[in-house]
Amino acid sequence: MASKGNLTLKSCNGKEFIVEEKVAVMSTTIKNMVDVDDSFAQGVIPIIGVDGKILAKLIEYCKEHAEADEDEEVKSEEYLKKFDEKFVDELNLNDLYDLLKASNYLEITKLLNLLCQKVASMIKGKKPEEIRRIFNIKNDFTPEEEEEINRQNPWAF
Amino acid sequence: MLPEPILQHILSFVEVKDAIRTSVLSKILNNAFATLQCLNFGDGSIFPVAKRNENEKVVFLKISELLNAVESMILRRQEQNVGVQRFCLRLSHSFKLLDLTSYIARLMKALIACNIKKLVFKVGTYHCRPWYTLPEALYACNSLSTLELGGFKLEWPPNGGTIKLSSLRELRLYKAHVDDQLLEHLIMSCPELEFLRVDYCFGFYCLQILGLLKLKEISTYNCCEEFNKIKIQAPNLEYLSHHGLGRLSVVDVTSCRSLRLFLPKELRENLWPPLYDIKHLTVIPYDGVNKSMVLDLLDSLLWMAPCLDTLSLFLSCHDKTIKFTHETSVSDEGVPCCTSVPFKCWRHTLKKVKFENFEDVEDQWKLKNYFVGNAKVLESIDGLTECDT
Repeated sequence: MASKGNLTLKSCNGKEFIVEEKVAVMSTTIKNMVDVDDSFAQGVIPIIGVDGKILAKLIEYCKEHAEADEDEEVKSEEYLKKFDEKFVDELNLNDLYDLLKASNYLEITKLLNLLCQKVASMIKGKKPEEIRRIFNIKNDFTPEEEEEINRQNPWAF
Repeated sequence: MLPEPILQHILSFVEVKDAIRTSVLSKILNNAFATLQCLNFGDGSIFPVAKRNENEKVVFLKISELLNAVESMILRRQEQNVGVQRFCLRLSHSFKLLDLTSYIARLMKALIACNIKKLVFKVGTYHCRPWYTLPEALYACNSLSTLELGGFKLEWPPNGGTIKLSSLRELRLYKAHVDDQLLEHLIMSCPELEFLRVDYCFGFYCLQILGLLKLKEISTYNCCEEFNKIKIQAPNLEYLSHHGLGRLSVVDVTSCRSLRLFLPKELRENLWPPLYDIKHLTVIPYDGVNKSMVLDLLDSLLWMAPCLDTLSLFLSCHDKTIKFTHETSVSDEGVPCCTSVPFKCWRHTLKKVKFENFEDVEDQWKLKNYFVGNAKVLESIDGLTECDT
């Protein structure tokens, strides 16, 4: 049971995390749940579709940023930038996708932007086949469709 | 694979060229691009430039093809009710090659129909003079929240057309020609404006803004020499930065919390009205000012802005700060003030001065003497190295 000012978040595989409310409400989805229904603030908040490993990552991110919002002196902009860089650089592709989906569902805008920018930076300036290899994207076009698509916008290649 | 909304969010961070390259990889990516609402064509490097010995006609054809591709991307989104939220295009090629007047008008018309929110549109100039005017409809585009224009000649909309940018929060003008009245009218037609930037613009003498409630930040940079007046009454203005080519003769800023001015050499000769409301001042002096002139500079600045809490000086690449503490309740009794202003000047209210990063300044004792000699109720000076006077 979480004490006052703390919330309990439960992952889809049953792992519970007790976090400070200010950390949890970095997620707009959780904030709305707590605001609308007081029983969430008392009991356990189920985080549907997010497993313990990913939820721990989310909390790690939110904790740093919530603390920085509160005290700029201790965690400066520069510190956060370094933290963000390290945070995304350490992710493998599966975790990156899972975190993207989770931060989208939980509406953690800052993190969603950070992750999207990371993926964007992996796309920038690359040839289609390189992008296909990096992200392991399956080609599901028929040969006719592919021919048609390749004919459009020749300037981009 | 990721769901489409996330894919679109990712693609909103890349340029159109990169988005197209991903669109050929799979059906879902193809669809994500087809309905992408952010079209960023980057810095204009997608357009070929005529090289020496190259046939201009070949380049002309390539550019035309690209322009058509850009237009059809917008038109497709307009037809399918997808809309375009963000659009960024820079065109810089020669006018001898191609006159884009009607093209620009068509493009902007389609973008307005797509409920454009953020528009960055830059065009090349002709012998440093803007060539293209803005389509009339843009002056009344109420979906716009950010507008950045480069290289345009701003003219009053013909036939008494209205100027009303009711949602605009950020306005950036770059290399634009605009006259005083239009500039003022344009800015004052944006009731939601928070951020204004005017860089390398010309055709105006005065930047006058009266009463925009939401305006927080104004910057001007290297505008024409004739630009010499700034008159701003914006109650919530937090930041004003001016870096001018010419001398400012009038600066009339009320209730701005932070002011950043590029300081003209002739500061003393100019009639600057004192800026009594300014609490934080940042000064980047011209190159001619060196460390040994700190005292003169300081004397001028204190005259100009006598109620400062902090003064930041950028001298020899170092950010130096002076913090002031004033007496809060000043009684009218006692020593009469030395100036004719209706309230006490800094000489009669300054209690504490704290210098930061002044270690490399020569003759620190002069600074100390200056404050000891002038500030009548001074209690302490910190941050200067102790030296015999």
